[in-house]
Amino acid sequence: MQSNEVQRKRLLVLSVIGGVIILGIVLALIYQQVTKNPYGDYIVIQNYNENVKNISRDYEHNISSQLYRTVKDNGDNENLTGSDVKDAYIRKDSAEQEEVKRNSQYSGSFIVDIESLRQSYLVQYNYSRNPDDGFTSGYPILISCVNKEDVIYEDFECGDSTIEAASTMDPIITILPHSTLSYEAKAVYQDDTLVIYVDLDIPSSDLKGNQQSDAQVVALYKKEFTDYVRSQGFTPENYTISYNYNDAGEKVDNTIHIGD
Amino acid sequence: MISSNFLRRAGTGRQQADNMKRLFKSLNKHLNFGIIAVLLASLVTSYAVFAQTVDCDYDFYSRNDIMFYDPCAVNVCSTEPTSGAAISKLRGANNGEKIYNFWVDTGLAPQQSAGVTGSMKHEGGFSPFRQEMSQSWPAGGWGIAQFTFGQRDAATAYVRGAVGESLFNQYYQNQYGGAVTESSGFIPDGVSVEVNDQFLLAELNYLLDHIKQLNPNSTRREFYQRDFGKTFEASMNLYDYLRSLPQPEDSAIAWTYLYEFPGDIKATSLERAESAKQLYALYNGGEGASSECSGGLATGGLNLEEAKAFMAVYKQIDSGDPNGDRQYLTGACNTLTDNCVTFASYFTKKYTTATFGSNNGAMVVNSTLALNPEMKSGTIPQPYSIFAIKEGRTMCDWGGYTAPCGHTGIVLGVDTANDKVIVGEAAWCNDSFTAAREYSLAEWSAGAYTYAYLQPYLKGDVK
Repeated sequence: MQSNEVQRKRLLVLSVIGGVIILGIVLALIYQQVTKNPYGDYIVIQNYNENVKNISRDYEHNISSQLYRTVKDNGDNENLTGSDVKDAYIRKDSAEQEEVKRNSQYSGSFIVDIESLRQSYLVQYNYSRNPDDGFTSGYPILISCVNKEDVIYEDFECGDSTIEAASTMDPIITILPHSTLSYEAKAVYQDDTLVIYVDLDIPSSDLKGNQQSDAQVVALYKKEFTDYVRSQGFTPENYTISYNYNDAGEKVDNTIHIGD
Repeated sequence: MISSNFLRRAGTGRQQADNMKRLFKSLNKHLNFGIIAVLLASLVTSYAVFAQTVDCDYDFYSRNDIMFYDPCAVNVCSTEPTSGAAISKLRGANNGEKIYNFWVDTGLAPQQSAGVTGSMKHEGGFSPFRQEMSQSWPAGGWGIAQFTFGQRDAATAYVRGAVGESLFNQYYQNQYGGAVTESSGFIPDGVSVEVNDQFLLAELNYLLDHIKQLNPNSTRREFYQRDFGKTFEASMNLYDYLRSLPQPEDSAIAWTYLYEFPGDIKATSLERAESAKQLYALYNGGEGASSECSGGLATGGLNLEEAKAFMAVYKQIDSGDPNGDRQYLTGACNTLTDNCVTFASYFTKKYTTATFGSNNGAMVVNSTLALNPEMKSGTIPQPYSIFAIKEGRTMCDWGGYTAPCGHTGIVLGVDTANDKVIVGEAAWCNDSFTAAREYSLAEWSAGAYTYAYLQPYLKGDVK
């Protein structure tokens, strides 16, 4: 009779212990699911919460995952896992955030330093509480190399997706095509060589003088274009420019011939 | 006034409530009548304008083998009289724009204004001081329209009277008669903007006055008829005739034949027509606009529902890629498709024969243009064009200097009637953003967005 009582008590204690263990496992699984980064491996930014406010947990996941991928693509990091990096910190005073639209749109940036890898990255983001908001078009989360003035470690030949995308073409295409009332200019790749075609739009009345005066008018129009190129930070002498007038003031055929 | 009188007479409590009811009833009755009257008036006016537009356009378009178009040029073919008053102020950043706006302010439509301005570009190069190069001062042509012989005498007399004897004598000089360019606003060295504007305004007002009385002689009319098959009614004046012309090129040609009458007239007029087209695109937006009518916008492409279905097919790439479309992508972030550039790449490579210029969003249009020399571009959206915008808060390094990374995507439809542009777009690392959306056509035509027109490169039916 007494042993039955003891047995029952033992069973009860074991059941309670078992129940607690199962509950613990379930809670641990739920916690893991809640905190799991849906974007894959990631680098924890240790002081993120102290520096970045107002944006969602999902954005934090996205940022930490993009940071991991960018780091992995750089230097000798291809075998790196996110958990290897335990010292990613937002640089002091680098975190900025602007409330673009009250309680709705936030734009910000910060620099992450990873001392163990001796690498730094610039994180930029645009966040909106409305996921359909055009404010988050383009590049709402962007991890890139830091600007020259923000470099604190030795050069590690930093690369990022934006550099990769932009480096395939000459940066002069950022200012071309360009048209004014005096000319129409466009940059064209021919057999991997960039040629700038410029059609000077000279009124016929300006070219009715002698050859010398015609040449002066053409030079005036050419200068108009090269002055524009210079004003945009480029050196026209570094480019092949094909005009529709020669220096003698005569009209020439500068039609684009692809594949010639 | 009605309500205050009514309330003054009103008592308190129930009486006041009854009075209020009567007031609203009365207002409601008047309002209903007003609405019906406005609707009827609008219908009658709309029909009249529509009938006039159709008559006017049909002839032009059918002669040019354009059998389907958006009949939006309701204000172009107007023959309603204008005030006829001289203009007192110029508007614009340079003389080209000032001349264009002057004609708009007189009552010409943008197309007609661009036509006259385009022709004038080839006269004085937009300088009101221009002296004809092949002639010695003071012989030959002078001013924005190269006034010659009796016209020079009449124009200079008018300008002298408008700007004053002293100013006229100071600036009516050969030294200011050289070629000018846009960087100086088309103003010669040594001339201030104020002086320039006084001369320019006077010359334009002289021209306005002159062409409102001008009935071109038979030689001009015959040449015009011979080369372009167009009839100028002898009873009209040139200004009123210009107001009946629907396209910038028409106005430039008419001006060249009926006013200027230069040598080698047909070739010259075609050259001026081309300038008119460019000026219209510049001041009224979009290269494609010149072949269209008033609003200058093509209607067509996909509607929003079709665009959504189109984007759903794109999203299938992330679900096993049943159509084998992965080959058209440039790379993305969390999924295969969450990148604005990769969607533009997908569309261009899958549906067109054009070469796609991969770059950051802001530069996709420029990059694609650099690889497709014949491709047209502009600032007005057309169905099936790549769009790009250089705005945004995330910044990229563009070969040494920092600028917005921007955004890109595809214009899938344009709904001019409802002021909508329908686009397909995606965003970097933001998978939930991939969708078809509608935006304001006016905002997307305001100049910040640039477009590379893919329509001529389409392989087949986009749907």
